[in-house]
Amino acid sequence: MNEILQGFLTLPQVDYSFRLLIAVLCGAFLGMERSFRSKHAGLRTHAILAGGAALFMILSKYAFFDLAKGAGLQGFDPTVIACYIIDGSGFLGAGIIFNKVDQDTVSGLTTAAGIWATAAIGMACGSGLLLLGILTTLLFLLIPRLIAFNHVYIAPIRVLYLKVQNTPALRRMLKEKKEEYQIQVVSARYGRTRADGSVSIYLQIRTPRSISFEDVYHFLKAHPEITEISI
Amino acid sequence: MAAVLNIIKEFFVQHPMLIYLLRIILATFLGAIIGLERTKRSKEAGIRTHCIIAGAAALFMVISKYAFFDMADAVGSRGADPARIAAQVVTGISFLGAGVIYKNGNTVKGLTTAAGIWATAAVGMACGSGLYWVAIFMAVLILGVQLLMHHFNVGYDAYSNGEIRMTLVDTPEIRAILKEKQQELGITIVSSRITTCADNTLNMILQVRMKQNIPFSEVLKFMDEHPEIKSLSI
Repeated sequence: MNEILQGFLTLPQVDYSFRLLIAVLCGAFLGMERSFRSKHAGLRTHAILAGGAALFMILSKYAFFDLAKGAGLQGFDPTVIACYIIDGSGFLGAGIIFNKVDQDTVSGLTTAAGIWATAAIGMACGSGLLLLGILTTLLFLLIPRLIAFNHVYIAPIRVLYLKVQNTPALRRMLKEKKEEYQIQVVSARYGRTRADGSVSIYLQIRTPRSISFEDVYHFLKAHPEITEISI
Repeated sequence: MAAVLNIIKEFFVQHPMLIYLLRIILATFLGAIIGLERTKRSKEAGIRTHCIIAGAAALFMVISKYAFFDMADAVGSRGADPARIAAQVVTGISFLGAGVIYKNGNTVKGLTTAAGIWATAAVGMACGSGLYWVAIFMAVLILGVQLLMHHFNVGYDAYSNGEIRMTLVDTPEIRAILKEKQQELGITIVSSRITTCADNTLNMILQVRMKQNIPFSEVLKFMDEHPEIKSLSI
């Protein structure tokens, strides 16, 4: 019985399947971390992506063995398919990056990089470097924890748009709000839009505090000078 | 029995094209299984897309591996690389996958489908090259992740992204009702845009994450009960 089991486990296709399973699990753990941080790509995306990368790697390395001895195909290169995993996962990642041309900002970069890294881990598992794949997964799980401290962590850029009546009282109040929310203005654009003298303010800001819908709403209600706000 | 099997084996050895065809059929079948789950969730890429992708990936693999035998001893050829065409499938399919990803404002849709298309191509290629068991195992694995993880969601995976546009006459009552609705339906507001209009009317565009889809009839009923809401789109 034991011998049969051992024989089964050493079958190449069983070995490859085991690698796929490990790759999917590694991807699942990476994805879980992302989904708890409310990112777009979650557990399922990462798990399937890692499994796909592992399978491509297995194909690259082992799918052509049956040809090796025959037919004089000397040109075989076992890394060729694996090479393109890097391109391919890069494209998928690029699909996630938001290029907000009108706002001069980009978001989703970390998620895209994470997808790329997940493909690398899947490749490691697929090629048989299981321990390396697992350890790298642990490392990538640790990295966000390590840099989440406030003095290293930089809040992402958000865009704040205001349409206001430009009065001294409002300017004073905006300054107060800026201090209250510890807002750091990255860049600003102003424009006079209408004949009635309202001014549109376009700001790229960083703030360590989260601004909820309720805050925005009460802010708008409290100040009739503001006609439009978007964050 | 053994003799019959031998005859069948002999037949396929003499007609390798039939083996390749069977591989493509298996790939199409596995693609169909993966695609079925997507169709049931009414995603853009469904059973037909996944079938075709898996079948085509298998065919590319067969071409890559076996279509250059006649060139092996050709004059001036230093031997073909049988993995070369197969390699391009990986990039080709990721273009398709990236096209499925749909961005709107701050939200993104179709990511899991894109990853699934990628993995489906891998399954098809495994069939095409003859690694049947690996292909079947991977298809089961993909299906397992999709089915299981839709039942046991972690973190924000349970939420889907959406946009709510609303024009309403702003009264304290409607505010309270909306707040209640938001809690009842488990809606998180990611970003918002509020414009004030004349007569105390507010125009809101909200990027939200919600746990369940709101049925059309609910929306209509809600509109009917609250005349303060002038327009609403979800």
